[in-house]
Amino acid sequence: MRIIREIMKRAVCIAIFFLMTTNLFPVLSIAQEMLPETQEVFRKYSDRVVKIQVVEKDSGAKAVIGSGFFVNSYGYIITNYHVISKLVLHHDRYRAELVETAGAIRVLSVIGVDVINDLALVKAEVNDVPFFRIAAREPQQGARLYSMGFPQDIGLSIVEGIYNGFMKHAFHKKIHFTAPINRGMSGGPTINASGEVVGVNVSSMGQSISFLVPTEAVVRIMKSDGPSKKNPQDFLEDIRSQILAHQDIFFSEDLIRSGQTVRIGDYRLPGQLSPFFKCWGDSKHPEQFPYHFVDHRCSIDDYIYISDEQSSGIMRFSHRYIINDGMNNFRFHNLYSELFQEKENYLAGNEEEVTRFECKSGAIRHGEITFKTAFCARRYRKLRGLYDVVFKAAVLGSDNSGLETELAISGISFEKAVGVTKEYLEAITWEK
Amino acid sequence: MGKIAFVEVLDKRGNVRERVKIDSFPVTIGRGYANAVIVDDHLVGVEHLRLSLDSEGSIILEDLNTINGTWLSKFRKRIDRHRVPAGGEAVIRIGQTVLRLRGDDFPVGPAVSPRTLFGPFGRCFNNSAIAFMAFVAGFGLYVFVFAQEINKKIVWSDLTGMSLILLIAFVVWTGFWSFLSRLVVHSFHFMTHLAIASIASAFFLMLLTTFEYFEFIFSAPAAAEICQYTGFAVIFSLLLYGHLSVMSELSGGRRMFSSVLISAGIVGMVILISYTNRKEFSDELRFSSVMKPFGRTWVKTVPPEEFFGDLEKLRTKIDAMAQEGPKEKTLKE
Repeated sequence: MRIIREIMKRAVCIAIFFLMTTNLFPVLSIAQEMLPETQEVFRKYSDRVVKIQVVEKDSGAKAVIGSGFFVNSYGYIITNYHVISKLVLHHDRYRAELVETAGAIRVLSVIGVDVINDLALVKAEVNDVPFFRIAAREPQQGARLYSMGFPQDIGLSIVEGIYNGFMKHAFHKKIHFTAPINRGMSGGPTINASGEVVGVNVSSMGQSISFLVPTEAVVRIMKSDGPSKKNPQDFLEDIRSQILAHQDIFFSEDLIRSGQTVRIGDYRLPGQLSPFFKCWGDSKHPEQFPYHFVDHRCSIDDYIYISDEQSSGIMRFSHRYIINDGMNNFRFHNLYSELFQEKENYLAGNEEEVTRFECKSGAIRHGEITFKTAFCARRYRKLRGLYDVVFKAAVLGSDNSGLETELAISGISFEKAVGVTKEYLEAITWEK
Repeated sequence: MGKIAFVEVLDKRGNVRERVKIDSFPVTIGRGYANAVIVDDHLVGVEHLRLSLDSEGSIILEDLNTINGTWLSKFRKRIDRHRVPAGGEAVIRIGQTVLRLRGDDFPVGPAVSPRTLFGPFGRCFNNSAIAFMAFVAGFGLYVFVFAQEINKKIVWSDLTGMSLILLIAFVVWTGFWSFLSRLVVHSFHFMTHLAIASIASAFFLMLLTTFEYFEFIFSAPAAAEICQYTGFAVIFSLLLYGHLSVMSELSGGRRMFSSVLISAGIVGMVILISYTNRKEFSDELRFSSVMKPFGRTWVKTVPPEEFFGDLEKLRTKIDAMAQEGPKEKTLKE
C-alpha cells in the first residue's frame, strides 16, 4: 500500500510540474509582462479609433456597424469598403455616421473607395483630431501587434496578436495576423507599440486566423482624395473601373494556357492555373448507386466584396468524371443529363443587383471531342459592363463514362468571359 | 286509314320528355284540360294551337290569336299558320315549351352499333380483352420509362411502389370518367375509359421522348418546349374527346369543340404559370441538358469559334433585362 501511495504522490508531483511548465507558467508570465504595454497602447491611441454606423434613413435603425481610424487631423477616416458599401450602392436609402465616445453623432461623407483591397476613405466634419501615422516598415514575423475596434457593438476593445507576414498564394495581398478579430472590428487599425498603423482589420477565418489590408493600399487610397462632394454614382463608376482593371491583370492572356493541367479518365483538363488557385479532388463510390465518379475542383478564395450578396473575382471550375457501373444506355444518359443540370450554389444575388441568367445551349466539336455546352450569363444592374458567367460542358460519345465540367466567373466583362471560356474549353483534350 | 301524327314535348337538350299520339283531326294544344295535348306552361294560352289536315293530307298548325304567339324554333320566327309537308317535321316553341310535330311517315335511319368511338377503334375498346391489353401496354410503357429515371440500383420494392402509385392514378382518373358515364348514360364503361386513358398516356410518353430527342439533336430547348405544349394539347384534346364520346350525348362537333377548348385552356394556364415563374428572379440556369444514348451522330455541332463568336444576341438580351431594372436605374452610358 505504501508503495502505491508513494507512486501516486510522485505521479501527482510530475503532473503538476508538467502543467506549470508547459501551460500555466508561460500564460502567467505573458499576462504579467504584456498587460502594462497593452494598457499603455490603449490609453494612448484609443481616441484615434472611431465607431462607424450605417443607418437606414426611413427607420433610423443601424444596418451595419464597423470601425475606422483617423489618418489626418482634418477628420479623414480609413475604414473597410464593406462597412459602408450599402451607402455607396444605395445612397438614397442609407447614411453613414461616426459615433463619438460621448455618444455624439457626426455624418460621414465618402471620399474614395478601393473595392479590390476592401478600403474606403470617409470624412467627418471635425478638425484637429489626433490621428495615426502609417508604419514605414513591415514588421518582423512574430512581432506583437494590437488590433482595435468595436467588436459586436459592445464598446472599444484592444486585442493582442502576432504578425505572421503576408498570406501565401493570395492574389490580393493580405497580412496574416494571429488574433481573435471579431465582427464590428472591421475597418479598425492594427498598430505596433509605437502607434503606427501596420494594417487594417478586414476579415477572419475563426480560431484567431485574421487578415489585414496592408498599408500600401491605405497610402494609395489616401492619395486619391478628391472633391468631397462627389456624385454618389461616380463611386459606382470607380468600383466598376477598379474591377475591370483588376481582371485585366488577373485574366492575363495565358492564364489558362500556361496553367497546370490534370488528367482525369482519358481527358486532360485545366488544373491549378496559378498559385492563387486551390484545387481539391475526391472520388465517390456510393454503394447503392450503379455508378461512381471522380471530382476535381479549383477556386480562388479571395473574392472582391461588392455587397452582402455579390462578389466579383470568383473563379471556380470543377470536373466530374462519371463511370457507369452496369446501367443500361437509357438510364446512364438520364443520370448524365440530371448531373449536367446541377449547378453549385455559389453565385447568389438578388434582383436589385443582378438580372436573371440567360443561356445559350449548343454542341461544340473540338478536336476529337463533341461537347454539349451551355453558356449562361447575367449582368450587374448597377455596375455597367460586368457579368457573372457560368459555362457548362459535357462530353458526348460514351455509354460507359461521361465527363462534365463547369466554369464560373463573377464580375467580369462579357468579352473577357467569352475569351476565357473559349480557352477553357479548348484546353480540354482527349488522351488515350 | 286516317293520318296519324305525334306531338313530342322536348326538354332543353332536345330529348323527348313526352309523346302524344294524334289520330283524329282537328285537335287543339294548350294549357286547358279540354285540349288533346295539355302543356303545363303559364306562358301558353288556354287554347293555344290548332292542328288540322288540309286536302293533301299535310298537317296545318294555326295559332289561336294567343298573347305570346307560336314560334318556329329554328328560325325564331313568329307564325300564325304553318304547313308541315308529308314526311316532314316542325319544331315550334309556345311559351317556354318546345314541341316537335312529326307524322307517322317521318323517316328514321337504321340502327347503329353501340357507341362508336373513332370508328373501328371504338369497337375495339368496347371489347374488354382488347381494352385490357391496351391498358397493360400503356401501363407497362410508363413503368419502363420511370424505371429508366431511377439513379439508384433498382430494387423490386421501388418498382412495386412506383407501379402501385401509377395504378392508383390510372384507376382514379378512369373512375372519375366512369362515374360521369354512370350519371349521364347509365353505364360505367370502365374498361373503355381505361383503354382510352392508357392509349393517350402512351402517346404522351412517346411525344415527350420524341421532343427530348429533338432538343438533344438540335439543342433547341425553346422550340422543343413549344412543340411539346402543342403536342400535349392535341393529345389531351383527343383524350377528352374519347372520354366524352363514351359518356356524353353531345354531337361529334360539340365534343371536339369542348375537348379542344378545355385542353387549350389547361395548356394555356400551364404556359402562363411557367412564363410568370420564368419572369420572376432566380439564380437558376435554364439550358438544354438533355443527353440521349442514340442520335449522337446527328447532333449539329459547331467549332468553338462559331459558338463563342455568336454570343452577341445573348448579351443584347441580358443588357435589355438590366435596362428594365427592377427598382433603380443603371448608370448612364
